[in-house]
Order: sequence, then C-alpha cells, then structure tokens
Amino acid sequence: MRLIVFLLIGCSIQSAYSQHTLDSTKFKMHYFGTLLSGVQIGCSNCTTGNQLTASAYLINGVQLTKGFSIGIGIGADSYQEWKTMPLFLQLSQKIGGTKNRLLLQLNTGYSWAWYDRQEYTLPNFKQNGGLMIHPALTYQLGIEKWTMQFSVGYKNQVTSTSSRFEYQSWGGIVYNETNVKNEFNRLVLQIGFGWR
Amino acid sequence: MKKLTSITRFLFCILLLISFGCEDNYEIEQKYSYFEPVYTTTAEIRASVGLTPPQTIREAGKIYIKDNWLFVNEVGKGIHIIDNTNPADPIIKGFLTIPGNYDLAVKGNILYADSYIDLLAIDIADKANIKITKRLEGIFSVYNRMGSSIDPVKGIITSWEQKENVMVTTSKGQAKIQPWGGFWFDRGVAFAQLSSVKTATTPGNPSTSGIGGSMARFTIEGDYLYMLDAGSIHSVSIGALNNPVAKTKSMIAWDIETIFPHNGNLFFGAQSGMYIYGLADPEKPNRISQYTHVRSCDPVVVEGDLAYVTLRSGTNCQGFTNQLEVINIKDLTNPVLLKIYPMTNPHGLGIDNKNLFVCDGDDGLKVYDATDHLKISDNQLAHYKNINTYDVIPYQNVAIMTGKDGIYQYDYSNPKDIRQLSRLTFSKE
Repeated sequence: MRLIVFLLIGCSIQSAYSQHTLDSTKFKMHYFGTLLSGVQIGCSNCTTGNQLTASAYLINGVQLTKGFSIGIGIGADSYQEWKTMPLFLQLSQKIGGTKNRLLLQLNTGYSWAWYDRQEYTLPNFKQNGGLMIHPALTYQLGIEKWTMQFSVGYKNQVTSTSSRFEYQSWGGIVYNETNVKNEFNRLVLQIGFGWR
Repeated sequence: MKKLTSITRFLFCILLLISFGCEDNYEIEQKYSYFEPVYTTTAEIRASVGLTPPQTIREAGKIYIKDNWLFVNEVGKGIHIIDNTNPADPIIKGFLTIPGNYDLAVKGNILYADSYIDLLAIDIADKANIKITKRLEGIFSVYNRMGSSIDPVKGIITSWEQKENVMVTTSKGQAKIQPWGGFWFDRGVAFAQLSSVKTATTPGNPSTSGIGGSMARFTIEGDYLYMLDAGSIHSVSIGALNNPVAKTKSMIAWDIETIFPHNGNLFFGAQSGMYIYGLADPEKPNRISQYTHVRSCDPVVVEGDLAYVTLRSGTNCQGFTNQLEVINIKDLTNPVLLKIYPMTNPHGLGIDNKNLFVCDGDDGLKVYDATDHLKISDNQLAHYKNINTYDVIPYQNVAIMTGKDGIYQYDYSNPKDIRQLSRLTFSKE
C-alpha cells in the first residue's frame, strides 16, 4: 500500500512541476458539488483475480482559494459481502492546470458498515464500520460552470465484526468471543460531474 | 502540448497503479474461556472430614430436619449443624467438613452424607464428638457439579478453574464468518447444559429418620437408604445404622432429579415426568408407572392420594413451563393429572396437613390451603415476596425455608395467621 501511495504522490509532484501556467484571473470563493461513481478494484481472494465492486460519492464543498477546496461527502461502497456508507471530509489541492486542472485529493472519514450474514445468525453479532482513507488524483475538465472529473485513487477501509457465544460447561458459564477486523485495499476509478 | 503531456502522465500513473492490484487483510481474534479441572487425591479428601467450629452459611443446598436439629448442606463443602430447639432462635453449633457433599439423610444417630464418590456414615449422637463409622468408597459414579472424571493418579475433580485464552490470526484476504457458530474447546468437552444439580421434598419417616427437603436426592424408607446417582438409584441397607451395606444399583431415567418416599413407594421427579416405584423388594425398587409432562425441572411431594409437582423452566431445566400440577395417584399404575396452576418459577415445595408451601423462585414463598385441590389458587393463605426461595420443609407447624439469602422459619400453627419466626442470614462474602 505504501508503495502505491508514494507512487501516487510522486506522480502528482512530477505533474505539478511540469505546470508553469498560472491563473491570472481574480479568484472568488464559491461552492461546488460533485457526483462521482465508479469501480473499486481489489481482491479478497487474489488467487481468483481482482473483483470489481461499485463506489459512489456525493460531495459538496467550498473552493477556498484558487488551488484549495474543502468538502464534505457521503458515499456508498461495496466490498463483496460488505457494504459501507462513508461520511468523509475531502481536501483538494490543485497541482496543475487552469481551466482543466489536476487535483490531489484526500478523502477521509468514518464508514458505517453492514455485513451480509446470509441465512444464519451468530449470537450477539455486532458489525462495525471504521476509518476510510482515500487519496486520489483527479483530472477535472471545466466547461463553464460545469466540471467533469476522472479520478484514480487508493482506498483503505476498515470494518469489523464481533460475536460472543456463552454456554454452560461443567464448571460454569464460559464464553467464546470472535472479533474479526477486515482491512480492504482497493484501487478506485471514478468518473463524475459537478458544478462550481 | 504541455496539457497533453500532463494527461499522458496521468494515464500512465493509472495504468501503473492498476497493475499492482490490491489485496485485503484481516485479523481474527478468538477469545474464549474454559474451565480446567482441579484434582484432589482421594487420600487428601478422605483425611479432611471432620468437625470444625461454627461457620456462617454461604451457599445453602439441601436441608434436613432430625428432632430438634437442622442440618444445612453448604454446597460441596459440608454440613452446618444447627440447634433448632427454638425455631425463633436457631443456633449454629458446628460445621461438619465433608468435601464434595451435596446430599444427606439421617436415621437414628447416624448421618449419611455423600463425599464425592464415597458415602459416609457418621455418628452424630455426640455433636461435639462426631465420628465416621463407615465409608463406602467409590459407590457413586457421578457426583454433583464436578462431572464424573476420576483420574487414578490425580484423584477426583474437586473444582474447576476458569482460564482464558486469546488467539490472533492475521492473513491476506477477507474473513468470511462461518455459519456454524460453534467453537472449539481445546481441553475437554463442554456441554450445552448441566443436568440439574438441585433436586425435590421428602417427609421421610419422622419417627426414626429425619425429613429432607423437596430437592433431596437421598431418602430413607424403612431399613434402606435410597440415593440417586445420576440416572440410577442405589439401595443401601441400613439395618445396622452404623454399618451401611450397598445392595443394588438400578437405572431409573437419565433425567432423574429428586426422590420422595410415600407409603412404601418412591416417587421420582424427573425432567420428563414423575416415576412411581414400588418397594415390594426394598433392595430393588420396581417401576409401577410413569407420568409424563413437558420437559422441565420437577420436584414432587405426595400427601394422601395426591401428588404435587412443580415444573419450572431455566438454563438447566430446559422448557418454558412454570406451573404447579396436581396429580391423582390413587391408582399408582395410572396417575392422572387433575389440575394445573400457573406459577412464576417454582422450585421446592412441601405439604403438611393440606397446607401447601411453594417456593416460587424470585416470586417468594406462597402458602395455600390445598383442602380443595381443584381451587388451590383461590385459597392462598400467605405470600412472602421479595425473597428468592429454593426449598421448604413444613413439619410440626414450623416451615423451614431456604432462600438465596437465608433460612427462614414460619409458624403455621394457625394457617390463617402465618408468622415469621426467624431468619438465619447467609454470608455474602
């Protein structure tokens, strides 16, 4: 994962250095909205290859400076048996371009999570969401007040389950508790459009 | 041109990232507790029997009355000897240490008590100088609460020590929860439930033997001591009181809980029903009939031609039934259910001269006039609430009841004005 994050940052920095054109127009702070959807690529069982699952975000925020914006987003993601609903903060920094811009973004927040338990029920079963970290590199095409975005990123999502089974043994009540922590790693490709 | 270069680099990064692929990680933490057996050698156990100074009662089990003496079993540890000459002021006189003791019966001056796998005959004529007259070694195959494992080297399981274990597994991929929900147990077998360890009321033969509670698993009828051993019954000749002789062991049913003697017959309370055995041959009780009911814990008492059975649900008892049943046993070969009365969580019960006492668990002690057995619930004489009640012996106008927090005694010489005489409080330590 670290390797991929470094690669992402490295690519972004190199792209940034290659940009020389500066925006000379006067900046005015404004709101923006973005709707993104796409696929998450990764595998639970990699011997059978990567699996594709869906991901969608709705983000609203404020463009604070010419290059920096902040937003709040809500999403719906799938990881085979798991479904999550992240509520996250988006930090976005322009690293190149004027009308069409290259953005380095960090989406991070907490996800609520649901596990598909199929037909059975475990005793005292609890399912918990967890931290979602999603750095991304986004290419944004600007057409007047509208934008179109192509985003590639890497997502790390934590979920967990616990179940506790108590039963009578000869000596008294005993228990068996199982806590499972899942860490999903996904390459995320998204396409979206928005207004600004 | 610069824009084109930027897009090209962006797409290049995407392709590079895709080639890596992303794999999930998971961590499974398994925490479980289990009980590890603690063994004590039989030599150590047998050497530790003896009379000690009075102790406070902590966990009362079976109770037994003999003359003016009240014997209270301290579960698994021994017997409190209580002078009950004045029921308003019972005095603990001593504690008879008997490791692995759960049941008792008294005839004459001999107290019979189990000690794990042994039966002890103890002379209690002189309460200050109690001595064992005989030990029937290894007569019980199963002893209460501790399972039945007897190791020839380590000895007997005398307690269980709770242990905990944690295992953490990390791996690639996604942890898929298994549907079976059960868990392994790496140091032995864990059972889904215990057979009931507490049992039913026994008026016995007051002239020579004492009176046990309705949860008793020991009883005396004539010259024989009858003892439940898991699903079997032992008959032990006590013609010579200080020299008990084991006679037979015969299977009754795996779910037997209590034993109650009445008019030369034995009534067994079982989770699945009531069994009636005759004592034509006192050495080998013979089955007369069986009355079946829903599965639950089931002590039984008998007076006249009627048997009173309480059914309760619970962890050890299974079932969802909590009620009092009145059964006509005039024809022993064909017991007939006459009436059912709903209860809260009835445990032990006792009856004396149509005064029916029911220990209804957390709902306290209920006393009924059972003269009209079809209208028992309409004739409640008293209801002592806010006591967790377990078992009761009504005898000679004094009802002795064990609860979770103490031994209560009630004067019912006037059933319409039942009065509490005393309360012997248990230690909460």
